[in-house]
Amino acid sequence: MKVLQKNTIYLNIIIYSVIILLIFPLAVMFMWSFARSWPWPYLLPQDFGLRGWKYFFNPTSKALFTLFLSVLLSLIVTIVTLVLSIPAAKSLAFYNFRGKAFFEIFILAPLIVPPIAVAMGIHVQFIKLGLADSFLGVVLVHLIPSLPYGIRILTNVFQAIGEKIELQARVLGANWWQAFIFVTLPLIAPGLVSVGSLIFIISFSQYFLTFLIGGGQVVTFPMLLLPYIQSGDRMMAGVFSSVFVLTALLFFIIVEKTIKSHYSSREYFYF
Amino acid sequence: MVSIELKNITKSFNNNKVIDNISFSVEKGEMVSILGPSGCGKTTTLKIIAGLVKPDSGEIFFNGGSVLHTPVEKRGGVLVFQDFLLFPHLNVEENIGFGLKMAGVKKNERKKVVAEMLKLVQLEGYEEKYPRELSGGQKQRVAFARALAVKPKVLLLDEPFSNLDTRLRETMREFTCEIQRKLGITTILVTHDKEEALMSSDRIIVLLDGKIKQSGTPTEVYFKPACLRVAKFFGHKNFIEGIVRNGVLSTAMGNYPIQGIENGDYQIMIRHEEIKLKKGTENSAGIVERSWFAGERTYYIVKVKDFSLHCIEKQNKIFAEGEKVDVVIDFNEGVFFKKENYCR
Repeated sequence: MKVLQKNTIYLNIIIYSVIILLIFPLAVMFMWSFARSWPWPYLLPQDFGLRGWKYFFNPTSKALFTLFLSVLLSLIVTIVTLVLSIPAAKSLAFYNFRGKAFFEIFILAPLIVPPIAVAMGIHVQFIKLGLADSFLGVVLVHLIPSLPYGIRILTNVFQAIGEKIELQARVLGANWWQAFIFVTLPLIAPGLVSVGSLIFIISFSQYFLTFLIGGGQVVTFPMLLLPYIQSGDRMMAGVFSSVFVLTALLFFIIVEKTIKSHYSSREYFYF
Repeated sequence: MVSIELKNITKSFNNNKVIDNISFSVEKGEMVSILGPSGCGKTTTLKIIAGLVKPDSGEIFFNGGSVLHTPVEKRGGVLVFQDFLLFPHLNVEENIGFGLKMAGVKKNERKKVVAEMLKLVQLEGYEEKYPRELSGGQKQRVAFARALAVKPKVLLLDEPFSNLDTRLRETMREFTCEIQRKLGITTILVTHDKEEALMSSDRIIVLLDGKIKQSGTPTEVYFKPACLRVAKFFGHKNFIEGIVRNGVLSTAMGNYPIQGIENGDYQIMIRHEEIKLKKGTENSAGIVERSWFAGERTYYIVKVKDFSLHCIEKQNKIFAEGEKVDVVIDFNEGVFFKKENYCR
């Protein structure tokens, strides 16, 4: 009993140190967003101000509008990725077809080949097709780093639930879309949440691809954020970084809550 | 309820013939077992009947009408898989009502059928439970109830008892047979367990390497196996080579008079319960090599010359290992296999 208590104390120490280590930089960042002056060697800011936050909420800065646009873009990318990934992952998980091994590697290629190399070539094509400098073009180019994760992870999810459960639904009289809606979709929902969150973050934090294909016409949140970090305006960088983190966090919480509350009494695991 | 007929069904996976030109029929309300070792193509056969797998060639008839091009969900053959496959996100009531919901049956109506089914499988009051809260046997019952709720034309059971422990397996087998008889539903059971097939079915189809080797009532296939491999599959172990010449059988153990068998070379199968052991003398030919006491009976291996014979004796005859015994074999009770019936 004593040993057990001692162990839990050690365990708690480890857990809290990790949490503090993770939260500490965020806390510093948050403090910077209010810090008018924070010279070395002081532990806390010496003077506080609201210049950063005032600028952020000022309509002329267009920061809120950009944030909204960015979230919308990432949401669209997430949904498109999921819609494309579900059938692709299902066929990779369950069916045998010619060239399957090739496709499996081919899908991961964007993760192996540097995105710059791919995006350069795509940029030329997009200019020819008139997709450069457009919202649609940016959505399409964001699919490049998103799809490998979507397909790869969902393939594993499908493998975990297995093919037979859908066959069982079919045998009981469900046609293919009923089997998908009533059996497959609820079973892969937890997987969809994790994949969706990941894709959202990938798209939301994308700087280079947006910059290249959007050509400055499509401005997303990271494109506002980066200049402040580069120019060393730490107060503004603090404000924008905090908003960036809070947006992502809020997205996670909303998605988790809506899906989880739907299944709260129906907790289950992949089997 | 329908009668089912399969005609010249063939199926290959990657150039590997899993099912090789099989034909059989199942009468209305009959319970038929497809018996064979794992990998003999029996599950594929079930999937073909259900419509989950398309055969390369052949025809399937329900009540005389072809269903080859009827999609799975309209065919009405309900498969119960080995691992039950209850929907983990639905409770017992929703699981059982699933097929009805898909068919567009109204909620009140569904509730009535579900209650009826739960009563049938003796699980009243379990409506709100989730599959993870159920024991193996209960899951099995829910799986049955779910299959029966849609009033299937044919019930297809794929090794339904092999995930249960021995005692539960017996109970569930009796339970299933009882329901099957009560509802008179056409049922095809797939199993690798010979005892399960013998005890639960009206007819047994023995499937080896994708071919039907024998089909008949349990007593027929047990007492008169059509070939050597079927015999071996049923656990028969005593095979003796012999030559018949004009009513005399010559074996390495000696010569015996025999009736009604034409001249030729044979492998003769003797069921182990057909061999009688008697207390021997110094001159007796048999020596008890091994014995296993199993309560109501005892198993022996008795060595006669070069033969090791497997025998069963009732408990009132107990012989020690190494004891000399007289072995009485009535070869007229044996099953004679000609060379062409070895079917290796």
